[in-house]
Amino acid sequence: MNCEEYWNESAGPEPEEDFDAHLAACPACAARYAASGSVAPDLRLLAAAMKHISAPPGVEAQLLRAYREQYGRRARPARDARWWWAAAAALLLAASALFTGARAPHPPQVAANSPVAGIEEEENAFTALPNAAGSAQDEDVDLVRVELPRSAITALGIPASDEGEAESVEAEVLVGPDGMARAVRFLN
Amino acid sequence: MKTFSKIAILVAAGTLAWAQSPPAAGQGRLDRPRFLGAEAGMPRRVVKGAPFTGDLVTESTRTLADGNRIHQTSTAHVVRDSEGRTRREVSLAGLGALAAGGGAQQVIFLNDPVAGANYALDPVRKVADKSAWTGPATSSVTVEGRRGGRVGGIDQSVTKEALGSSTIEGLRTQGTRITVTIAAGAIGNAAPIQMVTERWYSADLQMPVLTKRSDPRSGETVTRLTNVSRADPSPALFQVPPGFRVVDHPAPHFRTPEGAGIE
Repeated sequence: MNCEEYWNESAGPEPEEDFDAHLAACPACAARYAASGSVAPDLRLLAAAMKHISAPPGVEAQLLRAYREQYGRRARPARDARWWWAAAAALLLAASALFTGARAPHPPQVAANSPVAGIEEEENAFTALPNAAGSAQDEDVDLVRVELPRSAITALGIPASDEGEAESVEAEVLVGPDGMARAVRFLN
Repeated sequence: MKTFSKIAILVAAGTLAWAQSPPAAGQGRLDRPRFLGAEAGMPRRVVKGAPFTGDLVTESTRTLADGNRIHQTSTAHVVRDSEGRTRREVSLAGLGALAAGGGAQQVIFLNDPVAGANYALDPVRKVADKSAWTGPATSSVTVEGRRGGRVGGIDQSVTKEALGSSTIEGLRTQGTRITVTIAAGAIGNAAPIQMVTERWYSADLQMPVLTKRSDPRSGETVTRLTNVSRADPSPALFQVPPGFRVVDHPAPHFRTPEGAGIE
């Protein structure tokens, strides 16, 4: 068993001993296992146990259709006064959310256990920036959250889809002690 | 009519409240990056008895395949007291493309092992995001391949050489050069790729004073500590300034990642 197979949550039902053996033989995976608080391997086992369970047919198609409908409505330009009422309602909702504190100061917590060098490939992991190459192993990092025009993604050399109405994206940036960005991940 | 007036007042109030806080990402067109918040990470270690104040200046140059060049500079003001508290004042300009046109924003990060707290200060909104002190972050991952061989399936060799001593910024330092060579063909490269890191380390400050890194893939980066003063800084620098609203985050939002650079 190699590292990829070990961390592949949709992999086949290998014996548990294989996983244990790999963990014992691979210091990198052992370190990652320790850093992950044992959650990821348990999730992998859970996924393996639930492999035979599948969603009813048509669910995916329905979800996609609902998404497209919602997407299309929001992208359409306003044509009548109803839009203004909708905007007013949205503002009221936003204001009430602000006043009741429903708007969280932080996005949902997501453990960032990806090394700066980006050697992990888990979903929503940080992507190393060129400046991170060769940075000291023991350097401290802080986190800065920014909202970016989509054009900034392209400026990083990361392909940005033309689709979507969102003109901006929210990103978390790991910053080295010198203030230079080391890694980034996009939240939406 | 009365109802309409009430709605109008509510909408106006909502608009006012909305204007005081940045909208969620994805709403409206941005012409430049906007700062939303920050969080101080846990330091990997606490250094006591080595106070200093200085500026960390980093210059990064990357030459692209078409001959174009990307040059970035950033300066961070760094402070450490004899108790191991640290303060870093950074500008968003250091985020490069992630802050193009919006780099005037400053963020101040405080690590206070004595009080057991980390803060990210936003001087504009006067907000201090406080995160829990969970103990110094440890690096449990050792970068493989220091002695050469295969790392992550890539054939590479590592050589380390001592460069002797030198005085930089009035500090006695020891130099080390580490060269990592990825063998030709290891990642589809026609010729070997060499990454060189030269580091001048001050035992007095317990940190590098000068670091030069070069990698043909990512360019050259030079980080230098300048304007060094070894006086113990004012304790006030490590406290949340008066008038700041402290927002408590009991659990860290992110964990200091394991480093994977070249030590």
